[in-house]
Amino acid sequence: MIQYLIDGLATGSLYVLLALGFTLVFGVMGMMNVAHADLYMLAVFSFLWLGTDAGLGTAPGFVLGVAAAVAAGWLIFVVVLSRVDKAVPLALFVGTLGVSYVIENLVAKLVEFRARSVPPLFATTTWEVAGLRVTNSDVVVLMATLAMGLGLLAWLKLSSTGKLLRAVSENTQLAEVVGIDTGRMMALSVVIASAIAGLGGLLVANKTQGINPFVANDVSLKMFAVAVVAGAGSVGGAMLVGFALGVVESLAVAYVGSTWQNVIGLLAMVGVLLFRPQGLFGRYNRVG
Amino acid sequence: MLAVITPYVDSVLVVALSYAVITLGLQLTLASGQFSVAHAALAGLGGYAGGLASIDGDWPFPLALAAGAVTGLVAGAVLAALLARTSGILLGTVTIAVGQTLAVLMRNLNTAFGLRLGGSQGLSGIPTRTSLGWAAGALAVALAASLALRRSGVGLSMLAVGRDETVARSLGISVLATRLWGFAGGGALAGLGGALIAHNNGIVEPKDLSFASEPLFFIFLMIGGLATPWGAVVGAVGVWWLQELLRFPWSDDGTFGFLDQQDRYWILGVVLILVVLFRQQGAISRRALRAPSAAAQ
Amino acid sequence: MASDQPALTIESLDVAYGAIRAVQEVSLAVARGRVTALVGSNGAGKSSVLRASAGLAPARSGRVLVGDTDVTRLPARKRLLEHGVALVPEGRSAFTTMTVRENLDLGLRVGRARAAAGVAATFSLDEAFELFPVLAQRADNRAQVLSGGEQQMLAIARSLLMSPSVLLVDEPSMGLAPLLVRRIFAVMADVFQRHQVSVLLVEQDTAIALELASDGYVLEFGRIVAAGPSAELRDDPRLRRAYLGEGNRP
Repeated sequence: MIQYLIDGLATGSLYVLLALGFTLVFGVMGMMNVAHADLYMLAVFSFLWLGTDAGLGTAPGFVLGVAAAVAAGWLIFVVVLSRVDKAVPLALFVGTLGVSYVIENLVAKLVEFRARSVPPLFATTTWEVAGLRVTNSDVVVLMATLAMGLGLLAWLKLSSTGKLLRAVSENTQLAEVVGIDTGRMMALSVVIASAIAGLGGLLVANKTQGINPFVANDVSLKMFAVAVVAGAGSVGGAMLVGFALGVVESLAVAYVGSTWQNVIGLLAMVGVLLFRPQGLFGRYNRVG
Repeated sequence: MLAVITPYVDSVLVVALSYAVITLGLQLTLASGQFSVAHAALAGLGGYAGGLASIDGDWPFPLALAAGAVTGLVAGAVLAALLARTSGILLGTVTIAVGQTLAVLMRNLNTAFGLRLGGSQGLSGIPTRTSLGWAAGALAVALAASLALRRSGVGLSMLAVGRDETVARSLGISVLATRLWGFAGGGALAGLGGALIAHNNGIVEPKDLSFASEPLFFIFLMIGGLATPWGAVVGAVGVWWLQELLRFPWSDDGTFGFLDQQDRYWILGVVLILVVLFRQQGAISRRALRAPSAAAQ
Repeated sequence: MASDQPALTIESLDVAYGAIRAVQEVSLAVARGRVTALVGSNGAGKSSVLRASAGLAPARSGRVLVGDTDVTRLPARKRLLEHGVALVPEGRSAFTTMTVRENLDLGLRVGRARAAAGVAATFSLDEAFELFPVLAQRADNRAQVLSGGEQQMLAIARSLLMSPSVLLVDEPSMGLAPLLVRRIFAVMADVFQRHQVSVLLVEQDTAIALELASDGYVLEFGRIVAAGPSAELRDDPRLRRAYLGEGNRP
């Protein structure tokens, strides 16, 4: 049973990593970026192309991978997010969907629609303690996720820039009225979100040791559901819900069978939403 | 004119027109202010129903289509009842979940009520009865119904509810009834379109009900325009043709310069981005349909 | 800058939302160091004038000047940071998820930026706490725990910390009990007088507005129908007519 917990936390880490950035942008900008999950895929492929294929080395490749995710995220912000009218959600959905198509299929074309294996960043060891199995790459992913999640939470709460972000998240128009550069804050939220997706994604790919251009499709729906259930902009909530989903799925595979794995999480989340439509930790309705 | 319709054009048009019917259903539901993402599922259910009617019931084609439409209608009505108190993102999320669940359900059901459903292989062996005539006919009916609905009292109620539920309620409009119309009507059209597609492909698969099949219809509406039913038709036919043309069917090997068939997806993505940036209301907006008049709107 | 030049001047302002013309050819001036009231019944367009002055509503035509500088083309943020146009908005005027101190810090932030550009700060955090003791008591609580009136005080204090050249106050009495309104207006009268703040006050409670202000303008259906020193305006029949019946007389 504890083994399922461990496996669940490992799976949940990816959900958390993606949901963190997604919900941050959702909170600050009031916009959902359907292409967010693709950023992690982009980071991994950039790492492969630059670090492995071009021979720049593992560490530089890693850094460039994250940089690629950030650059792409920022580009999406400048070209699409900052120009779409929030009041037409269909436009945003289709616009970011278009971005997703572009990213996924251009990458796919470049790799001839083949999956690639990801060389491990460090030697993998598996530990067996009291009948439980855990690999060091799982631990790394978990630690990194916790570090980034808690770090982001602390930064938002305590740092002066973090407070500005929170202000924009709560009431964008009032933020303008008190002189906050809301445009810059929005760009910042996108950059942070993309960096987390890229960094986290690289570590996850290291664990799964494989990547294909369309990985985002499986995980996007869950990322979205985690963010909605946690509540728009709730970073802490995204962490809790993301890990919870991972664990629920892990338990579901064990006790109910894998066919229902993907849906059970979704259903559980719908159940939550029916009781609390604003999300578990959604503290306020966005204004402006 | 009929000479232009080669077998190839025929096959593409049949699909485009069937998709247009489904899209009309989505337009109807969206117009009532409900952001439902379960339309592919409703269409898929219609496909299953129609397929079963043909295979096991040996029903004549029009009745099989009707079976699809009715199934969609009922499913839509059930959804509307379930979601009576929800709206916005919650509605969207729940409909996604419903769609996914239905897809998984169908993947696991090999039979139901003694009828073969095919499980993960899907329901195969559906007689391919959809012809251009049937598709066009169905679309004409669907379009006429949509337009008539729009002009009726129900249509106006939908517009009101879509804009502002509280205000609509204060005007005495039954929000529940309007939503029911939107979902049931939309479901009926989706089911009809789904049955058409099923009888064209000869098979309905569980994955057709999942969320992955959904974005297509939103793309059609976005590009065609979501304000009026015409937008649904223009969008579906237009975009479907666009992605066909991007297969470069005139060339021998499906290439065009340095582009090949695989490129059509990202090209479509670029088109989507451009449309969203420059025409957020789609190709056909309510304003475009109105003759320019002196009075302000 | 001449000291007898108005702090804020609005020339022939037109504000329209789509086809609705909310404000038509409105001209007014806010004397430096004095409170000017803009009164009128609901829907007369008062808030639109204020928001256009702040840069939050688009001016279809006309000009907004701070001192002698035309700020019509500037966005709200620039008007605040570079020209000191500070808005105390109606209704939700505080960030409820942040503490009182954090809210005030947002004002200090602007004040510091303006000080770096050479504008002297005339109001300090200590003064804010002295003026509004409740803010000192609740300094580290979330603004959520404050009552409506207290949040209003928070917004006013925050704006004063910005070293504004002109303060735009939008319906401060909205949603507050009469006794509380009197108290807030008394505090405002005191602090505005002491610090010589130039204020454009939009208010539905005409009586109390004209008590605080030295000059007033009456807006009806988007147009100015009367203007003058508040003492004269109080008895002006046009003022009474601009409302249904007698207006807000005790």
